[in-house]
Amino acid sequence: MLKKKPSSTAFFIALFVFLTTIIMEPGMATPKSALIKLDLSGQAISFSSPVNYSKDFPWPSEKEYRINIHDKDIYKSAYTELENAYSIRQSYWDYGRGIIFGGAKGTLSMTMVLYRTFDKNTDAKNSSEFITALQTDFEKTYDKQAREEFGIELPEHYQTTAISNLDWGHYEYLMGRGERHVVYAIPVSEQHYLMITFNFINNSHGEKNDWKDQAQATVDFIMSSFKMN
Amino acid sequence: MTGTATQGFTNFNPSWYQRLSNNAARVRNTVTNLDIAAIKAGHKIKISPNSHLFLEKLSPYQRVQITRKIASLSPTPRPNDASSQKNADNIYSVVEINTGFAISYKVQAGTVYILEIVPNPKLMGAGKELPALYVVKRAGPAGQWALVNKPVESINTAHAAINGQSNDLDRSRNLMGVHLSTMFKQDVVKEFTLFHNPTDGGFWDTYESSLDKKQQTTAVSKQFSKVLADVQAKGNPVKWLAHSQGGLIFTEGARFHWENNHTELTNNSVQFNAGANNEAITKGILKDVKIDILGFNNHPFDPVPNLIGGNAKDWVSKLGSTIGLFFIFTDNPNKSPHTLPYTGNSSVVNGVYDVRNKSALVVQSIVNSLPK
Repeated sequence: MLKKKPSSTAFFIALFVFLTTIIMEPGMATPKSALIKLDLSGQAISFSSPVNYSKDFPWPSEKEYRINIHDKDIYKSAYTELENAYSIRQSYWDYGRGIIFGGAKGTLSMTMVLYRTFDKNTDAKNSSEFITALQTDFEKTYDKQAREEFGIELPEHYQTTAISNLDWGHYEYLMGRGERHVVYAIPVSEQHYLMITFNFINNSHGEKNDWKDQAQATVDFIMSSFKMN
Repeated sequence: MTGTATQGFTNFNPSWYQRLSNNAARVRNTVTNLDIAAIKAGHKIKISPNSHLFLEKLSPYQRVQITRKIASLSPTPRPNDASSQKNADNIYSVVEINTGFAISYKVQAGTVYILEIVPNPKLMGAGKELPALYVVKRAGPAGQWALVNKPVESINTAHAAINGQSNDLDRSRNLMGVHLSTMFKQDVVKEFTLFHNPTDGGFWDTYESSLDKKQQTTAVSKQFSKVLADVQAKGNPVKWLAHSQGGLIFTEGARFHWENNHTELTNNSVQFNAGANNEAITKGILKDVKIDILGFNNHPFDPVPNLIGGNAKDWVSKLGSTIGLFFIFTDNPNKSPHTLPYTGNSSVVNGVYDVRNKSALVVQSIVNSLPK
């Protein structure tokens, strides 16, 4: 009885999967994190950032930032007409990437911005005034025209939430085709606050996948690691 | 179109729409005689001219899935998932769940008439996407890339991009924004138009790429050729960024345009990033239509342009790209040579070429020292 020979295609696929498996880092399931430090005119803030960044987007290599929040020039941007926001750092993480085909099922982006309140009379250190300022600033940043143009829904609630002994201003909004944006903000002076926006970018091609749960775990990890002195 | 007139309808032949290369058909088991046999035994199927044209515009994956659904109506013209149309006798609608397209049809005198095929609006936004043009602008406090709500018919921005495989619309807008702002930094890009090349998953995207590579023009490339022609007709110059599979679509779209129109496309210029297209072939095609090539930006160890595109400059690049083949599937940003815009600042690449150059010098000095 003749034995059937294994096809060469099957051999190469098996070899490919084997080599891919051994080349991938064994520690990838539990990503390491880096301690990021900010000095905002004397206000020290630190947090941990997982370093398994998306390979498709630029990732920040800086670990320490020293920023003079009173320097008016830093709030001007070549890209937008806003003169109230200074973009400090942007990072991306991918989830649900297939071994051979298919790309990531979803991407989380984290944008860290230093904000100067539109209303100069606001005392951001006052909890209720801070929440009002967040709402005012959101509606001025995304005015009615911008909200219609980009399909932005106004947040349902602006509230204060405590995470690891820090009180954050917090709200969520949907953009475009239902893309979820989660915002946390914390005052660093009477007129300045640090704003962190997590953006859940779907890439699942309509397939069911738990990438959003994994992305939420990253959000929870980062937010619970924040420390402020 | 939901009318019931059936003039101009033609016989529905599944194998025509399911046509695939032998290898792909074998892998996916798509082209069989089963569907055709079912049609011969059950209801006849006729298709409207518009539905025929619409199917022709879809990707291979979408065509195969929808064709199978239509063929299944022959033995069972009123399946459980069919909904009947109000105030219309014998008109039904079924949804092909893999693609989200709805098929409306009429059953009359032993024949199924395919009236219309449309994207199911309820499923749009969940990955059931069609190639289309979208305006993307910087918005918000950090100038993030945001998508203007509705697709546009033509390009009115100075920059445009076409994405590679495995990227839904929302990821493409971000990724192409990064590539454009990196490659055209001096232009301070605030907005661009995205020609979104939708994904059907890795296998089908790769299959689609292989067709364009062999100059068997895909539907998306045909559609893209019209975009290039429209830019030419409008008269405003557009700088393109074509990434990965987008490079193949760009090149094949231009070739298709030249083959059918023999006119120039001088208002378009293009930068290829990690393109799967071959540089020599691309130069030849774009020379015909007079499209300026702004550059080919490839990581020296990226297998997509170097092996698939056949653009490796030397043996180091060939070897590095072969090893790189294993890394493009990893999540490690420090190792993967594909997708991120290459800045020419890779310590791995510089180190390998440094070793190569030093080794060459050593070999040369040994050769020089040998007695003549």
